[in-house]
Amino acid sequence: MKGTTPGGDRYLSPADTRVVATWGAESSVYCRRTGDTHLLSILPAELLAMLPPEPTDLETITTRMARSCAQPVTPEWTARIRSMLDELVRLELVDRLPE
Amino acid sequence: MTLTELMHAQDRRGCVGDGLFYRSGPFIIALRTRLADTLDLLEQFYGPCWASRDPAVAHFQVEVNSASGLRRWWRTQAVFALDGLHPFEPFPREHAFPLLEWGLNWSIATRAHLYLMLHAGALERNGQALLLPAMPGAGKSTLSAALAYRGWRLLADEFGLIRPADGAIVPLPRAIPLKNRSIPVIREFLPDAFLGPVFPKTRKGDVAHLRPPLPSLERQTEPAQPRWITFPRFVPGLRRPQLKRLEKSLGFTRLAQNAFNYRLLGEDGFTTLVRLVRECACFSLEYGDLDAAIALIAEITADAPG
Repeated sequence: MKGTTPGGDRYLSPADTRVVATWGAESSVYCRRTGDTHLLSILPAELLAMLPPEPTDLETITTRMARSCAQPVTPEWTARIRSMLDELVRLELVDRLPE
Repeated sequence: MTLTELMHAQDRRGCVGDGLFYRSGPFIIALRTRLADTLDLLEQFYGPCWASRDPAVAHFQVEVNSASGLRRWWRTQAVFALDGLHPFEPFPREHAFPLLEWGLNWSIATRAHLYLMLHAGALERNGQALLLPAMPGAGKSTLSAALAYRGWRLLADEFGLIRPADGAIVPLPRAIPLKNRSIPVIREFLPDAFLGPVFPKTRKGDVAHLRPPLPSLERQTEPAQPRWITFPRFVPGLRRPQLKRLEKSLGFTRLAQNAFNYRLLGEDGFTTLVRLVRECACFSLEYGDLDAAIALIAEITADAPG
């Protein structure tokens, strides 16, 4: 099934597409592509900051985020990261490269 | 030369024919009008402001006059023009002055994109400024008016103009349009302040304009650095004001929604707003009593040097 298992789609987030202001646990993010401003809570903000500019697969992203957040990599964790990535893609803050 | 000096130094009809130029905050207004009552009110509210009949570079070319055409024969009307275009339907002739004021506000809101424009009152004390952002009807003009006569310099009652280059608030002290229940409230609270005629049944209800204090007009080219942001809301009957410190993330979000031109300015709007929020403490304030609200604001701003 496309894009639902680690190792499928890859993600990247070029840093020059956004400007970030961090307010404690939340961040305001200005998207240069759309002109929209988004308020992100700590986990999606951390995910966005951690995404490398080169395409990276979901398994790598999930593992890095788990390490950063001291979380075990479980199916639930992977689904949560995947859901956040989908939302960031929808906001055009992240690009998804199909498998 | 001040507007008062200009009007008294020569035949006032001279101001009618070729128009006059006067300063309002950072803007030079070129005004043409044949309406003597409007000129009288202009002088009463903006008399100390710089003015000239010599052509100057104007930011806004405006005109307010009686309507022409057949309608003038059965009901006299006033029309506002910006650069020769009429953005509004005519108003009743007796509402010419509020029409001029609203027309200028509209002109600024739609064109002055050199600034990040907040829908906010703004006041200064000891070089530091308090912003009161709120939507219409929240009581920001009433609170701004009260503070302006209680030791604060009025920077603006409607437009918080933020200069992107340095984050300063640029003053735009205008006649404060009080509406409906605010008129008797301010009349009682500030019995010595000059309140102009009541214009009944305008599109915003009854309106009367309060003259800004003289120092506000005399110092209208002196900007101030923002230090506090307080979102006010008038709650009838609330005796003890409620003040809450706001998370900066919430303050930022509310200001982005409040600004006239945040989205239009793009990244400059974002960086200007981020700087503003970083430099200010953010609060929300619910009040029903002006004295109590002023006392509470004095407490939270007490650390200002002075």
